[in-house]
Amino acid sequence: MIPTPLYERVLSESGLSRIFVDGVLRRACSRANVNVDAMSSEGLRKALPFIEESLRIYLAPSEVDLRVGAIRKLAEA
Amino acid sequence: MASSDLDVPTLLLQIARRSEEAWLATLRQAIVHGRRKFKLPMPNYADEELRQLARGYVALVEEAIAGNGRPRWDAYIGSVVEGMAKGGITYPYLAHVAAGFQAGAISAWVSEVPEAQRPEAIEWLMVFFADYVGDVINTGIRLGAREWMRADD
Repeated sequence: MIPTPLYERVLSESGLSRIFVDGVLRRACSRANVNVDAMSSEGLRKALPFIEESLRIYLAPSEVDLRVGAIRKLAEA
Repeated sequence: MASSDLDVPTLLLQIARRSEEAWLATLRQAIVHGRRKFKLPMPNYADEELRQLARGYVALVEEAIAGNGRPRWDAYIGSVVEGMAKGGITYPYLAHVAAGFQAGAISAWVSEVPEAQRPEAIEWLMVFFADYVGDVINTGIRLGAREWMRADD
C-alpha cells in the first residue's frame, strides 16, 4: 500500500534517519494498533505516545520535545 | 585501576554513554572496512544518522541490563536491518560492519574497566555482542537468503 500523506509527513517530522525511520514508526504505530497505510489524525493521536517512546531511543532529549511537538501539530491539523 | 563499586553491566553502560564520540569513530572505521571489502557503492550516512544508530545501540545495552524482555532489541535490529536492506545494503556487508564494530568497541570499552573487573566485562560483552551479530544474521536470513551471496562471488 502507498503510505498516506499524513504518515509521510510524520516520517519527515520525526527527524529519524532514513535508514530506519519507516521501520521504527511502523512498529510504534503497530503497538498502538494503528495502520500507517491508512493513518488518520485520530490514529496519529493514538499512536503519538508510542512514537514519542521510540524517538527517545534514537534522538537527543532536547530534540525529542521539538519533534513530538511538530508531530502533535500534524495530529491536530 | 581499583575495582569500581558499580557492577560490571552498569559500569559498561556508563562507559558506552560517555564515549559516544570514540565509538562513533569505531563505527565509521568499520563502515570504511566494509566498503573496501565488498566493493559496493554504499550510501553515505550523515553523522547524525550514525549518532542515532549509536544511541539506539546504547538503549539496547540499557535494556539488556534491566533484563525485562527485549522489545527495543527486536525493534532496533528489525528496523535497522530491514531499512539497510531496502537501501541496497547486503547482509554480508552488514554482518561485516557489525562484527568489526563490536571488535573495536570491546577493546575500547574494556580498556576503561578496572583491571579486576575486566574478565567479567569481557564475558558480558562477548555474550551481548555475539547475540547482536547473531540476530543481525538471523534477520538477514529471514529477509532473504539470496542476499547472503557475496557480491564478488
